[in-house]
Amino acid sequence: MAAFVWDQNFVTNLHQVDEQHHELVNLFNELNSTLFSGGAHTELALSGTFERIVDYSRYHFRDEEALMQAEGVSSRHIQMHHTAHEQFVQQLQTMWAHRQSIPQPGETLVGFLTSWLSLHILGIDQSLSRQIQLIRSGVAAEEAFEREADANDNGMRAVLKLVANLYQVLSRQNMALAQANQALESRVAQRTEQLETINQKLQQAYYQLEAYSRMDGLLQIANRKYFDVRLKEAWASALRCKHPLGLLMIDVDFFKRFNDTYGHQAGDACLQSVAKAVQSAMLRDTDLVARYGGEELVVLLPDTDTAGTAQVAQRVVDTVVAQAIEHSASDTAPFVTVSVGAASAQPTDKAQAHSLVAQADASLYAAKKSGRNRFVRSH
Amino acid sequence: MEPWVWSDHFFTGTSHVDQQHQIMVDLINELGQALHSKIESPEAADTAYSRLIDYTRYHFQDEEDLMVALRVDDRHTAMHRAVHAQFVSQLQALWEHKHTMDRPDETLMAFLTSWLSLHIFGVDMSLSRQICLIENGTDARRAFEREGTSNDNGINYVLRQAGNLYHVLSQQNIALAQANQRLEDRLSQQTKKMGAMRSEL
Repeated sequence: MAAFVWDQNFVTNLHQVDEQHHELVNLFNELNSTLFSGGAHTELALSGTFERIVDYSRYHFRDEEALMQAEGVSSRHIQMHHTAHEQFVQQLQTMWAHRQSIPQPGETLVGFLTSWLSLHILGIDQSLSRQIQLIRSGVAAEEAFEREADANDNGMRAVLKLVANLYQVLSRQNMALAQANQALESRVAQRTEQLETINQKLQQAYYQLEAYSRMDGLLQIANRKYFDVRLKEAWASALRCKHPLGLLMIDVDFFKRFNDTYGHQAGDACLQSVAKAVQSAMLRDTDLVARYGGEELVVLLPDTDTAGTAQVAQRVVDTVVAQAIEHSASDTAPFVTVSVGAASAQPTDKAQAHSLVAQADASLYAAKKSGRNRFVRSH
Repeated sequence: MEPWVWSDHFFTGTSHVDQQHQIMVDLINELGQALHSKIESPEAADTAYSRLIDYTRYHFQDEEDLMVALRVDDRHTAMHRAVHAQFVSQLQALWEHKHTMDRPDETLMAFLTSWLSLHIFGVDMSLSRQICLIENGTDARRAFEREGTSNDNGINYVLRQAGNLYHVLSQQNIALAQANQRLEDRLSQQTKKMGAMRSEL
C-alpha cells in the first residue's frame, strides 16, 4: 500500500503549519509500516500509534486555529475550519471504536487518514493560506473570505467542494449510526437483564406449581401421583444398580371410629400427626413418605433389604404409639396405632414395580388380621 | 431547495452514457422535490426513490455491458463495477436510515449530487478516455495504464483521493447500518419474547 507521498501542492507557505503537516504525514507512515510489519504485538503497537496521531492532530489543530485568530481571518472561515477539525477527530475515533466491524481495519484507517489529510490541505488549508496572504497584503478579512467563495469557476476548487459535501454526508451519517448503535446496544443489554429477571420469576413459579402438584394439601407430604412416578424411577434405578427396594404400606387402625368419635376435623389433625410421626421415623433423605389414599400412607425405601425394611417398619409402629393420641374407640389400645405391611424386593426385568405394592398390601392385611399395632413383612 | 443543474463539464463524450446521466440528474431533482414536499404526499418520495434506484441500476448495467463490449481493461471494469455496487448499497443504507437525519432532503441531495458529479468527473471520464484510445487503435491494457500515470494532474489526484475517502466511509457506513439492523432485530425479538413471558406469568 502506498503511504503518503508529499509534494509541492501540499505546501501552504505557512511555515509552522507545513512543519506540523509533515509530522502528521510521518505518523501516518509509521502507522502504515506498523501495519505491514506484522508480528504478535501489532494490535498494541497500532493502539499506541493511533493515540499519538489523535494527540498530535489535536495539538496541530489548536495551533492552526490560534494562527487564524492571530492573523485576523474571517470568523466565518474560522468557524468552518474548526468544525472540519472537530469532525475529523470524531470520525477517527468512531472508526477506531468500530474497527472490529470494518474489513481490513488497518488499511481502512490509513486510507482514511491519507485521503482526508490530502483533501483537507488541498482544500481548506490552501484556502486559509490564500486568505492570510491577502490579509497580510492589506485586503480586509471578510473580502478575502468572500473571494474564496466566488472561486467556483475554478475546476479544482469546485471538485474539492463536492468532495467536502460527500464527506460531510457520510461522516455525519456514520456518527449518527454509531450513536444509534450504542443506544441500541445498551437497550439490548437492558432487555437481556429484564428477560433474565422474568425468566427467574417464571422458573420460581414453575417450581412452586410443580411442588404443589406433588404435594398432598392436607398432610404436606407427597401425593399418590408423585409416589407412582417415584416408585417407577426407584424400581428402574434399583434394577440398574442391582439394589433391593423396600416399601411400607401404613394404615391407621380404627380410623373410621376415630372420625365418628372425635369428628372430621380431629380426624384430619390425627392424620397430620401420624404423617409427621412417620416422616420423623425416616432417617434418610432419600426415603419418600406419601399419602396413598384416605388414611393410608406409603413409604418408599431405596436400597433397603428385607431386614432393613422390617427395622423401619418397627420404628414407624413405635413412633406413632409414642405420639399417644387419644383414641377411646380403638379395640387395640387407648391411643392411635397403625398397622404396617412391609415388603422388599430385588427388581428383575420380568417383575413390575407394582408387584412390590401388592406384596406390601398383602402384608398390611396380615398385620390387621393378626391384631393391628404391628408390622408384618412378606417373604 | 435549488434543483441540480446539468453542466457541460459532465459530458463524457459517449453519447448514450451522457443521455443516461442527464436522466439521472432529472430523477435526482424529482426525488429532491418529492422529499421537500413530503408532507403533501408521503408516497411520492418512495415512488421517486424507486424510480431513481431502478434507473440507476439500468444505467450501470448498460455502462458495464459497454465496457465488456469494447473490451476495456479488466482492471478498470472490475473497479468500475465495484464502485457502482457500492453506490447502490450506500444509497439503500442512507434511504433506510433517513429517519435519523435532521434534514433528509438536504442530506440525500448532497450525497447524490456530489457522488454523481465526482463519479462522472473521475471514473466515467477515465473510462471515456480509455474508450477513445481503444477506438483509435491503442491496446486496452496500455490505455488503462496511461490513466494510472496521470498523477501529476492535480484534479485526477484529488478525484482519486476522494474515491478512497468515499470508499472508506461508505464501507464503514454500510457496516454500521447492518449492525444497526441486527440490533433492531434483536431488540424486537426480545420485546416479543418478553411479551410472551409476561403473559405466561
